[in-house]
Amino acid sequence: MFAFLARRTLEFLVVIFGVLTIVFVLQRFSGDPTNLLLPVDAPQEVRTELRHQLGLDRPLPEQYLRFIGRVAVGDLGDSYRFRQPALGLVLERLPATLLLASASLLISLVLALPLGTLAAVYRNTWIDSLATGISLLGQAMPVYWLGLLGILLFSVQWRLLPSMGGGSFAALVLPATTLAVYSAARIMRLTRAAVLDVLHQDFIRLARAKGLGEGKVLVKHALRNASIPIVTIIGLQFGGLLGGAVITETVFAWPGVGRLAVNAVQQRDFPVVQAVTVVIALAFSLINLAVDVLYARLNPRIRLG
Amino acid sequence: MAAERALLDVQDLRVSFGEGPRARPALDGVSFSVRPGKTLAIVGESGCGKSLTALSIMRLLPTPPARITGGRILFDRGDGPALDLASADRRTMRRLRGKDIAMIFQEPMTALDPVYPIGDQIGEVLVEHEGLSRKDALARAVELLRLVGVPSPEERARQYPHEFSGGMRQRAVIAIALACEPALLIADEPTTALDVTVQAQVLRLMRDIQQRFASSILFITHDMGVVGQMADEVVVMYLGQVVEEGPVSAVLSRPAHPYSQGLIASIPTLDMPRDRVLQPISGMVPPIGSITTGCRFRTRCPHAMEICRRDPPKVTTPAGNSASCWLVEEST
Ligand SMILES: Nc1ncnc2c1ncn2[C@@H]1O[C@H](COP(=O)(O)OP(=O)(O)OP(=O)(O)O)[C@@H](O)[C@H]1O
Ligand SMILES: [Mg+2]
Repeated sequence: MFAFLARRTLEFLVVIFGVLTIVFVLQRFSGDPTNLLLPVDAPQEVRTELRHQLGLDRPLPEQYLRFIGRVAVGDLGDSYRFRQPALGLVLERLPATLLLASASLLISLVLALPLGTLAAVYRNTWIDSLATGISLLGQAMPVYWLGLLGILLFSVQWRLLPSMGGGSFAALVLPATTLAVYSAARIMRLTRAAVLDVLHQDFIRLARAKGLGEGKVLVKHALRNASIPIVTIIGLQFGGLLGGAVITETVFAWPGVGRLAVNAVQQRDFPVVQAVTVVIALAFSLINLAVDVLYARLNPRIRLG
Repeated sequence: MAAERALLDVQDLRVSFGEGPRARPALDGVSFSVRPGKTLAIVGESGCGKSLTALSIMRLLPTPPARITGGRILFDRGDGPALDLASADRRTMRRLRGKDIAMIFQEPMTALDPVYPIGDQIGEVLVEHEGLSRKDALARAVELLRLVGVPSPEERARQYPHEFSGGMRQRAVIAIALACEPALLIADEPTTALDVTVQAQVLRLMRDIQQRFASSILFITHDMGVVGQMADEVVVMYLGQVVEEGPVSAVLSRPAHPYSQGLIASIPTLDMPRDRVLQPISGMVPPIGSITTGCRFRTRCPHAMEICRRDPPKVTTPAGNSASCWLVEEST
């Protein structure tokens, strides 16, 4: 287990460095930031002075090291627009996004795990077909379209739920459900496949030969084993939900990181875009690391290996 | 022999794959009986329906597609009339499995659940059928591991399947089977997947168990060679049918059916070179269900005759084995 986690932690660091490097490179290739910071008619001396202040006249490797050094102490530059540290802006909105993504994940799991299991147990019956049909539909519908549909029906037509803003439970329902649909469909498909795979294993036959009832065979042996691949896919989906939140937040005016990112892109507020990228990448990698720990806990081969 | 009540009496068992006109018969009137405290071996080449027979008795056939379409599987529980397993309800079967009838499978590497310690997996049967607490069941599991010859059983009980070798895993599976001291133990090629030395150890263990518990064993194998070591009686199967049966001594020394003769002729002997490839019987096994009338073996039989297109009679020889073959009738 230690070796496994050490390797995963190393991979985590590599990924983070990779992200930072890409951010740095993009920053350097996205044009001269002084163009954005200064008026078009600013004199050349001012421009040179600013370039010197920003360290842009240093050799690239040195700039890279400085950049990494600043990131290490949490300095991702100031927002051009808000004149505040970009990282602070992102962290301020992170809880709202995490709330949205977590609520979505919860909804996904509540729908997907039982449905996927049922579909596997009753494979090739109408239950399986129905579950599979629902999941195909869920995967086929684009999030923005679903979101608008939800707003039209539940907010405009029936006036049941608010369509925008955050802060209340009711305001969370529509965006979280919309965001949940795709991942629920994916998790359901994978749960079905994982449970089906386990149900064909020899040890399931032995469990039945022991005289265990179907319920015990399913829960104690089939689901427990299927949980190992399912946990992995749940982790990936949670990362996907963080990304998907960008669109959902825009549609529902949810005050999270996603909306901040979209606005920052529109206003060419590069430090904020960078900070969002770095924070999301970090969150994504941390979740994966957590999933790896859980995976190792569930799997004796790795836990003891 | 006739007076003694059989522990398990399989009568005219039929199993098919699929439904309706496309149904393929896989077991075609299989009959045999296992006497209390005795070992009956079922022998036959791969695909002849040995595992299907075992799974039918356990009622663990993969349904669908496989289905029992006829016959009776009478199991004597010692109280009142024998129970027909072919038609018993799920609940009855569940109570019987692991308690009165236990099964050891062909593949020890995958037979155990990878996420639970071995001790828990053995204890599970005791918790289920004997109502033991988890702690008591674990203590019994350690004893059972000791019994089946697993060294340092206290430690081993806490280990997981991946920490066990194939032979040790099969011992653990045997311990699970023995936990409730079943009246009938079905062993489906328990040593096929093991290497030769381990094979011999596991076979010896099974013989010891037989003596100790006086349980009946239904021993399935494709290897005529181990039949002599293990069994009192033997049933030879070919393409879903029994072609010969009788006491081991009689069948091994005077096989009546040409198929049994072929199987016995192909037993490796000590004086032959190790690397010699055995060619048991000429020709390939035809797909099960492809020949449905007459003697199923006629396509490969060295003595095939015109009359073999008709169903052969079942004839008992003076030695005590009975075979289904036209030739046998002629010779007696
Ligand atoms: N799922 C299935 N669908 C159709 N036919 C099957 C299926 N499973 C098994 N069979 C057929 O049933 C026949 C009997 O299989 P069985 O497993 O009983 O053979 P066996 O005698 O145990 O062979 P082996 O020595 O290889 O274990 C085989 O010929 C096979 O073709
Ligand atoms: Mg078999």
